[in-house]
Amino acid sequence: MVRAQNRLLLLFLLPALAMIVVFTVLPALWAVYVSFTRMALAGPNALDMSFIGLRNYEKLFTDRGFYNSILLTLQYTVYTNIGQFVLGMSAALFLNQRKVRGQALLLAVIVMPMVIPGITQALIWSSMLGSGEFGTLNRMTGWLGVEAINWTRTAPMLSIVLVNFWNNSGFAMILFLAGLESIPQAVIESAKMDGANWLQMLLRIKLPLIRYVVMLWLLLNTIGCIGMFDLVFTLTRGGPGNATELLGIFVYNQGFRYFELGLGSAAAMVMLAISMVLALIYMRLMRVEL
Amino acid sequence: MRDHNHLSRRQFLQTSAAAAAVTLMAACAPGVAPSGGQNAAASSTDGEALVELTLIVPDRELSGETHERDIQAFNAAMAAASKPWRMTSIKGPATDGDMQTKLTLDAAAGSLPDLMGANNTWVADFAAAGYLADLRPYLTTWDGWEQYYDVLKIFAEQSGKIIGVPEGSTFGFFYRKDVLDKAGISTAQPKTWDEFYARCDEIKNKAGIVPCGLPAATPWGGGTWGEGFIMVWLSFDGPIFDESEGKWVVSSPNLLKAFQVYETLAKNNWLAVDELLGTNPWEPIKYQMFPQGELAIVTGGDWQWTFDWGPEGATPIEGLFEKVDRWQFPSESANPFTFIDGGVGMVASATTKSVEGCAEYLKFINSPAQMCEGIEIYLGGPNGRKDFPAACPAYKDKVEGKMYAASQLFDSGRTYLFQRTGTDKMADGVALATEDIITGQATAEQAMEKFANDMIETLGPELAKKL
Amino acid sequence: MTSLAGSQPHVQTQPTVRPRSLRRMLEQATIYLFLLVVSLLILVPFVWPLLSAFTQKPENVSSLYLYWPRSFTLEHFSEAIFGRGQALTLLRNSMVLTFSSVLLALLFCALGGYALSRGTFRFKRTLMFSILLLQIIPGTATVLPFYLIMQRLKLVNSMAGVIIGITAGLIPFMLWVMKGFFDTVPAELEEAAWLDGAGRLRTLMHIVFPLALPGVGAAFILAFNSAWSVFLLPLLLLSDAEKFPMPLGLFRSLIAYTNLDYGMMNAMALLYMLPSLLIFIFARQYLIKGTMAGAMAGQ
Repeated sequence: MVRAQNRLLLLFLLPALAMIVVFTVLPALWAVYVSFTRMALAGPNALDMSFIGLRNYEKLFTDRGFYNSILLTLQYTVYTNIGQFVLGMSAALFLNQRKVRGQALLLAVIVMPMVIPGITQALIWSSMLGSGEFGTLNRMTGWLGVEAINWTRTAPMLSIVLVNFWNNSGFAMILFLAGLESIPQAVIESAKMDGANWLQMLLRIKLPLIRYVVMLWLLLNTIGCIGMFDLVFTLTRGGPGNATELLGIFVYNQGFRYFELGLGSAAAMVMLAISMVLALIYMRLMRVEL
Repeated sequence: MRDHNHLSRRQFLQTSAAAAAVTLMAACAPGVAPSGGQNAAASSTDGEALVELTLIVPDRELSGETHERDIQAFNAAMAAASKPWRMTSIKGPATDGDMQTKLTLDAAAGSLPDLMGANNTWVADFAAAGYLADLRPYLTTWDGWEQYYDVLKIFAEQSGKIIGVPEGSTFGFFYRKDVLDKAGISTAQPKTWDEFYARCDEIKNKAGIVPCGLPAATPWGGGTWGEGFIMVWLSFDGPIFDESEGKWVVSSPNLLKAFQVYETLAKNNWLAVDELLGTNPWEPIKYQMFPQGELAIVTGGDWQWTFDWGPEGATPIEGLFEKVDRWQFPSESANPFTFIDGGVGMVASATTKSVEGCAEYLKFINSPAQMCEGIEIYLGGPNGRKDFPAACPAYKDKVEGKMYAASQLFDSGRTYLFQRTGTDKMADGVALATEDIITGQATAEQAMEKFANDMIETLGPELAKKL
Repeated sequence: MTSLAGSQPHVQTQPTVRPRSLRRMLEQATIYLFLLVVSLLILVPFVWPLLSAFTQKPENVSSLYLYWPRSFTLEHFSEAIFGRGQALTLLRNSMVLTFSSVLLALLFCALGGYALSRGTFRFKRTLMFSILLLQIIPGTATVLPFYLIMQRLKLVNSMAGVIIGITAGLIPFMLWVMKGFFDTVPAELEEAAWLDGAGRLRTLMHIVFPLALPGVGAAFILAFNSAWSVFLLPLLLLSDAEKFPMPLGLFRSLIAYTNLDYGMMNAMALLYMLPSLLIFIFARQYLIKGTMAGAMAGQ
């Protein structure tokens, strides 16, 4: 019975799996292979699929630009994780208080940037972050008496992190709110009776109880940050200099600007490895099983 | 149950392995697949078997319109002459970067369109990869070929092939004549960089505005190289690319002097450094400050008369031709020069159904009669044919005669073939180096040292050397 | 449970009557201030597109920045819709691509997600983890083989190709999400139905699917958004301007002859945002509740 049922279920799974295999797994396997070849998309080595072993990886690990990209990607991940956590969690904690009026509206506003298409976001932010006194952000800081700065130049990392907050904090907030809502009121009440203040409540009761949700968000967000490409690319193209050349952009530049697809694919594999390691660490630290 | 799962997983793995093998083979195929080569139809003269050729054009309004007209006229002419070739257009991405990505992919997949609009950023690498057809047999025997200025013809040859019909643009310093006149500053051609600096100093002190918007640093992207640095580099005597060894010279006295120009301009506050370091620096510099007379000098090519400040341009300047004028680039030897940058308008794919048909199309659209109709829609640059002004009298008066004047400079201007393997990386390196210089993070010496090491690292010693 | 995004007014139901101390009021004030500031910061970026789409810019000012408008105008919109923007064609293409691929992905993932939720395959966890990780390999490294596969399947320059491509891109994530939602529906409910002889597919359709509907709604919105903004795929696959979706056509207006008036560009951008915003406004309850339910599902 169970066996027959399982076979049927496997049939259900088949269409989705077939699509994944053909359009995701196969290209991925191909990229793995290419990372060991001198394959280029144009130039003298174009379409040369000869196997060169680990030479691409050797070249990568002697390339300062690549280390720079890894470092930037990790920074970007850490900053957005911390910022989204603080913003999302504060908003969630506040909204979780049943006495806040206009909750629905606030929630909608905070979540809204999630549904803005990427190209439009880039357009909007190029105006926001505009340099000189013209940029919207500079006008705002101008009211506070701060001198106009050139955001993508003076603070390139901050700029792309800021856009990330704007875009994604809503998602973090919904997840955290979901966790907080699911904590039984009795647990909260009894902690209050024991005289716990808000900080103790947060650290000892609430956070441990919602650690699965936090882990899920952390995992999704980290994977998203390490693979980040379009939002940052359309905004800064990896510049100024290579101050925002995240790994995703590094791979693009190698493959489609310099045509060295083998090298780019090798970098992509390193990206994959970093994500895998981080994911495993998170799961171990949070003591949750997938 | 255990058995069942085991089995299914093994099957799963086997299937994916087999499928992967198929894909890998498929991936190797483009090099082998005989996607082109069916030239039989092309050489037929009986006019029965038509050869459908495709031309990819960017999805832009105005140039799209011109292409459509060209194509219709071409097809009509071919039908009238009972020649077998017919052209259709397909729309590609509107931006150059996206177009490059798409064409690169098409090239690697062996499915390039027959003809495509070319861009200097990739033609050299595409030619080296063997993606482009050699049009030499058809173009050099064409009676129009000898009409092209020699200075432009060097841009038509890549990897030993003639890859297209050349075209070119002249570059110089555009300055606000009205502002300088009003402040009592000479508008005579500065012959040397020292004269240029003196002019900048006067502008700063007498007119009280930012003197210069020479493209520099990374935010300007390819413009830092193509609209600024290469001219500055060329203005000092010395090697740039060692032809005999096939290497870029990434450390030399003349390169250092070029970097020092940026250092001098920035150190004396003659350069719009803040604007250069912002996103889309051309916005404030070319579309805000220069039109409003808040910045005196910018660089650029002939298209600025129409696309940037012309009546239908991005930021029209009223009375443009009275307010704005041009200088040549100053030089070390006090021989100021106009820089000529060229390229080819279109290239043909090596896998095209008919090289001859592609060449036929290029000859047709570059004929004086066809181009003369085209300039009624728009004129973005000078014409590269010596016989064009005579064949098309209207040309002389278009854009206040600026384009005609520019084509007269093709004979006297200077040029250099900067489109070679590794140009992209050089351009990126120069952008970084000039950025370090204008932000004061490095002196010209330090910047060149770092630039040279970076280039030898990324281009490899086989493509770069220090002098 | 309180209705989180509910529309009914929030009634103070404090059981104990306490005098409102100064501290409590301060606390409340802080909360409101925080939420107000956050919302304002979120809304500010929308000012410029609205301004430049609906007004006439003064001369000699770059339209990339905020300015004092000369006058209100709908010219940019008429240009976008009836003029050179061709927004209607672009929107129609976007609709076709998005709805087809989202529905297809929903179908595949409803089946697949259900199987993953109810099945007891040994490789299930590994499979799910791999699906997630495969997404990390950047598209730029895998785009060539993907393109070659599309070419062999004769799907280049066809709407069907783009639809299949988008569907394939949606599946990994949707599979995860849908599995989560089905996990929230207790198995006992359908087991009773099996005894009645109803097949698995029918119980899925009639019992499990309706119960997981908020989740499906959330998945729909997320999938819609991601499909609606797909850029690279149609860019690479389509070469027929009549088939272009909105994100491709948006650039057409930016890089025209007069390449820097952002008025029409922003009118296009607003038209482009409108469907996602409408869906968001009408279905945000689903998005919020569904995401929340899905997030809690694995616990």
